[in-house]
Amino acid sequence: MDCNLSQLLLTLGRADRGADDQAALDRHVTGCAACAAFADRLSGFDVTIATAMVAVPVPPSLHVNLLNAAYARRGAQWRRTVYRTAALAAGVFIAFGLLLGGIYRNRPVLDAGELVTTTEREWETHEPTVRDWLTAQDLPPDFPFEVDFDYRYYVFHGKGELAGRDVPVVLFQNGTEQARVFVVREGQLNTTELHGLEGSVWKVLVARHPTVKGFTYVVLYTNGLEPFRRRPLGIIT
Amino acid sequence: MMGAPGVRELIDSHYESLYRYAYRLSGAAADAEDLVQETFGKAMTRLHQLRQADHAKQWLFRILRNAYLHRIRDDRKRRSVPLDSVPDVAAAPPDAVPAVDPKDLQAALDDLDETFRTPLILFYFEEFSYRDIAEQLELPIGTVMSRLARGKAYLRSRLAPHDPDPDADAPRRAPDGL
Repeated sequence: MDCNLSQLLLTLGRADRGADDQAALDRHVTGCAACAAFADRLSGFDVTIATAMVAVPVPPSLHVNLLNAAYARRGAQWRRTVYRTAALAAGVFIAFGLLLGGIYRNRPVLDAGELVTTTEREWETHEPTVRDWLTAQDLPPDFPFEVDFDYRYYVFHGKGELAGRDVPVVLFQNGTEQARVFVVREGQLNTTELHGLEGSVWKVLVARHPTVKGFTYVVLYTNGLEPFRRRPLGIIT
Repeated sequence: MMGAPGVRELIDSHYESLYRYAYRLSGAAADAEDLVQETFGKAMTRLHQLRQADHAKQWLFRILRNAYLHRIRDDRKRRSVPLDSVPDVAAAPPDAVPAVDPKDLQAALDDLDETFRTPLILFYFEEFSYRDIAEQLELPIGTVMSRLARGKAYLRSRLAPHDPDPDADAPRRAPDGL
């Protein structure tokens, strides 16, 4: 290695130099007084410039100013986050409120008159339905006078078990009072022992159809039959 | 490996070196303070990008330099001395270099193109290796070495006591980008 190359490498610095090149340079500088002096002067210059380079007085207030600015920015960031969250929550709340308000405003209006009419119409269908069903069972469509019940208290018709036999039955209920009207065909059951029978809760009435022979009506009821009698329309006890 | 530090920790650890860097880049105390403020402001919004505490300094210096470059991008009044008259990088350094007045150094840096000024500042801060500087400036390490050598030669020509006409040898940005 000659002095020109040595001084060029010294000027360029140590970076990106292979180990062999560095070893060759070190050997040359060690054995060459001129290059050693060149290296010392370069190093001295670098130290001088480095000393001047960092000799920048830092304003005493800078640290506090930076911290204050950082806190202010952080506060602003927090406020923005809080405001955005609050705005989002308010938006959701308002949208939910509007939705509920819309549902509330558009809910169906309950018309008392229509409700009464609908209920009365439904009641009016009870008796024809039961009559049709009794007719279909080859039974008289109407009941004897004793069992001339108000069909507003009708709740069920079908087959019920009576002494192990399936017997047509119509159920009426008024409050806690019940009356079950079983229609027994002639010869189907012996009902002679039933009339006037009273239990602790249930009582029994046996009646015959006034015009159509061959049918016995066994009425099982609680307390009395008055709650089930026909009354002028609109009066419900 | 350490986790990402907080803003307070970043300020405490790096505000002085950042201010000195900003001052040497901009040449004015007010500009330097503004640049440091802007740097920490941007750092706060990008803190999630900083994964390791030991990379904080390079990260902050890069933010500051980008902020500085953004500021001077449209500054057409700024003039730098020509670099095509740069002296031989292997020219003999002065025998004895007296203490350099920091103001004279700043004047010399102010006349230098940013592409030479920044690597010189980073190098003389003695806190950045050639590789750090290359990464900071996103340049090949050879280019950094070349710019440093020419920048140092310029400083020697400006600040050495034997140089009668400092401006005569002032370097400017090389056509090849070095």
